[in-house]
Amino acid sequence: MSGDAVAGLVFGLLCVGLVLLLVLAIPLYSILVGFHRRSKIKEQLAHTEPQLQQLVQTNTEAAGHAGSTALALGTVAYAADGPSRLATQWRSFFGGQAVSLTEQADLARRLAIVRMLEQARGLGAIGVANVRVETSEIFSGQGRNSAMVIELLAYGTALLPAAEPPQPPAQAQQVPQFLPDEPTRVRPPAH
Amino acid sequence: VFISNTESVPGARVTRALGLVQGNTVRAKHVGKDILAGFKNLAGGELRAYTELLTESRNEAIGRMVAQAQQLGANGVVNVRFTTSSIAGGAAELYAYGTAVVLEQA
Repeated sequence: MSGDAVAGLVFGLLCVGLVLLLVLAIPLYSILVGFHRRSKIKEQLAHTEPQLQQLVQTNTEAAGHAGSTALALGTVAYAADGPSRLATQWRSFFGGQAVSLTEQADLARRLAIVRMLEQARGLGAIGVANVRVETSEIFSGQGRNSAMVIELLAYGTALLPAAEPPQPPAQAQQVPQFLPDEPTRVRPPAH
Repeated sequence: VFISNTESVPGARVTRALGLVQGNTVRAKHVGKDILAGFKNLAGGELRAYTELLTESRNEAIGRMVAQAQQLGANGVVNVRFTTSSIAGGAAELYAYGTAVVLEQA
């Protein structure tokens, strides 16, 4: 065997290896980075959820509440990872539970609820009543720009303690400014 | 204007209901943000750019609903509900609706 043939063989193997690496790199990246991101969300939830347990959460009205209230919102735009979505497409052939997507929807929803609770806690709330949670697909993942994005929205009524005598929720004359992170709440009327 | 997603407001009494008020906004995807989101989409996870976009848009929808309530002479909107839906290829609609009311201290 001449030197040229050996060089050719090595070059050929290198090329095949490179192509294989590229083909494997994308799924590998998706799986590893996706797993890493999910475990970071889990860590965050494990840290914050116990702290927020002191807030009473109900999805019924709070008619007997003595203090004032304010709206609290929490939202998360979430994308499931590519491999899970692909696996689910196969799974849907037979039906059954898509385990990974179930887990991811749960994580994202809990994150949205945590954000709502954090906003309520920021206002000094003792609880959140009338909680509503919604899931919606905002970008479907069909067509050219195939980004699939779902939105998890949690909202409720933050119950504020009655420290001062309760103010009537009236007389807000000017249009309130809705800043991204500022909850809408009653301004006590000036005396 | 006081906003609540409950039917009744603690410490106040609804004296008049002025009818349904609503606000909506349709947002298209931002191309620059979308390229990044496309990469993120492979591995999944939260898309913070979109979370911000949705928060902004929802506040805009709330603002429109409130403006409508003020036009009717309301000082509160109760039983507020939010919905989000994908309406055309790359656009999402955020919608807020509620009942405009006149509240008085109980």
